[in-house]
Amino acid sequence: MKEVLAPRTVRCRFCDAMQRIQPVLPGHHASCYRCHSRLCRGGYQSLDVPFALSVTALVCWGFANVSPFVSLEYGGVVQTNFVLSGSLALWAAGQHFLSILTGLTGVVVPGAQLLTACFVLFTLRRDASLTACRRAVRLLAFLGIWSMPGVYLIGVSVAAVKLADLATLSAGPGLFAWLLVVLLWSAASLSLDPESLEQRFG
Amino acid sequence: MAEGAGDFEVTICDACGGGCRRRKRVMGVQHCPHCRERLPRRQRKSNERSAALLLAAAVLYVPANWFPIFYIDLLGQTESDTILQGIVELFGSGMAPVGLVVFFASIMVPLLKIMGLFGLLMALRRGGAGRRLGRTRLYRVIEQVGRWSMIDVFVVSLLISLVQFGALASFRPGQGAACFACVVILTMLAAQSFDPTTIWESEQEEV
Repeated sequence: MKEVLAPRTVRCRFCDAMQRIQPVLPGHHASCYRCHSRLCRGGYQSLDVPFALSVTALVCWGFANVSPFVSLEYGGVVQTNFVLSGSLALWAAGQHFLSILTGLTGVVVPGAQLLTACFVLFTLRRDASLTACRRAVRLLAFLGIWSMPGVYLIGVSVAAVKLADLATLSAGPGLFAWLLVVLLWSAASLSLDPESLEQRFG
Repeated sequence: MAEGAGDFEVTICDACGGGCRRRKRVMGVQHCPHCRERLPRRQRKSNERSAALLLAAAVLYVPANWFPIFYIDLLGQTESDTILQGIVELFGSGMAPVGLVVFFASIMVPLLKIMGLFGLLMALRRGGAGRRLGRTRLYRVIEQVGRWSMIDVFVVSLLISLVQFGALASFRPGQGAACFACVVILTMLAAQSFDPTTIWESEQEEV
């Protein structure tokens, strides 16, 4: 892995201005001289930290998919849900578009994003010249737009409030795993925007 | 027509980080001379496409708020809930903070995106060069907050899968839910299609 030392030329994503920037230290970020948008984040000193966070998040994602997510008790009957149950119920109700949309943005794309992040960080720690790795960085940026695990989590809490006077919603192990996915991912993504990964390339 | 230095601009290849020249007014795909990877595309029609997607979103915004997003069959009675009714109910049951979150995510954010992007597109059409910093900041906000409108779609999916107790209590999706999801997706696509560098374009040509 190349040490981050030399100044480099970057193009601002928002205003197209070309500029030289110094290496960005952890905890700092570089801003565009013209439109003040963030060009690049310092992220973590070592790629081991986001790698460890991403792998843990991926394991949690897998666990969250197979363990009970939330359960609802109403009149002695208990209804237990998995993460994907919402999208399956929408499919059964004939809302195929909504089903695919919630399934993709809420569950599948976050998983794909974590997998891509693990791949990018694993290859970057070894050999930064891989074309596949550069492509994966761009894929990661695209998946990031459509990945909404945090929005899903807020949706769960709003649903719990809405159901409060009808029945009580209780959290299963899957929900805690999902919470971990959201927290770990937001910590890992400090080092995972394409502009910041760029400075690791040789 | 001969090509001069003014017909080219310098850019950086996203794939290999190498500097390369890009023809300015050619809209086809251009490749990096170093690694043959596609250069980031500048589409002349990108803002027009953004406007079209936005118009579709604005049209769908009406049925999304008019039709119920779900129906509740509770002990033989059927009730329906639109987005706005859901928020009013949250406020009524003393859950004002949650109601506020849903109000922002489901009402304010789509409105902000539709009106904000329309404003940006109109300003570009007029060719105004003022407040470029503010306009870039507005675009960054619009790009970031879009996803949070999906809260209500996830709520509907959860309610429908959880409350399935037959005639006692069950939820069914309404027509408004699909319309609302379309509004969210279309505004997100419009924000992605919008090219923020065009805000700064005229200055580049003056220099």
